[in-house]
Amino acid sequence: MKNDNIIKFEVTAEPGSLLEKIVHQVLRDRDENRKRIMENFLIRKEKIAKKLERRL
Amino acid sequence: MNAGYSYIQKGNDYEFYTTYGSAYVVSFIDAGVYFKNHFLNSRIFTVDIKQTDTGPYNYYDYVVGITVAEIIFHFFESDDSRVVFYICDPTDGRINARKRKFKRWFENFNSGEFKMIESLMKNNTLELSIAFIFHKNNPFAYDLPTIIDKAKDDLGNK
Repeated sequence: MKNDNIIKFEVTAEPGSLLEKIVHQVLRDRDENRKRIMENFLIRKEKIAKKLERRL
Repeated sequence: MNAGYSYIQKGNDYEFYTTYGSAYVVSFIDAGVYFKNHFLNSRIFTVDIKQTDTGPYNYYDYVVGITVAEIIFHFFESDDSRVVFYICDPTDGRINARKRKFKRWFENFNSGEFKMIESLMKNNTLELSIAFIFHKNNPFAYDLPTIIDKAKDDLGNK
């Protein structure tokens, strides 16, 4: 079924093009962000575990 | 809507926990640096969905999709000239599954206010699906195919 809210297009990026560089940079930034999120999450999880341990 | 899980917002990160014990963070990352000299410069963000804790059960939870959709639409509430894009992760071979899921979320939860530009980008080294979401009345977002088309041939050192 055709969805009028979705516009589709396809591009072939030249190797070494600005578009290719941008995409790789976006993916690197996303990986850095995921690392930050996981580090923060694990720190908080550890703090909560310590608090619970003290209460027991 | 409000049929999803409650979430906590910290800046551009939104965190939520499911009833099955898993945890997620939906992040909006400023992508303006890639759109210099354009109106979208201060309004374009990538969105990423990270499961920070799988929890004890491996259970399909449809409420996660509802929550992600609510968060994305909430992000537009403060400024409907924003554009959000999602790059389907190419690293583990599940690119098509992610693409289908993201598209299904959009189709199920969009009340007609939003548009999506679905772009398939490929060359010898990469094949990616990128979905741009924006408010239908945002005239600048319709420039995106032109911007991308220009960048695909630009071999300048930027």
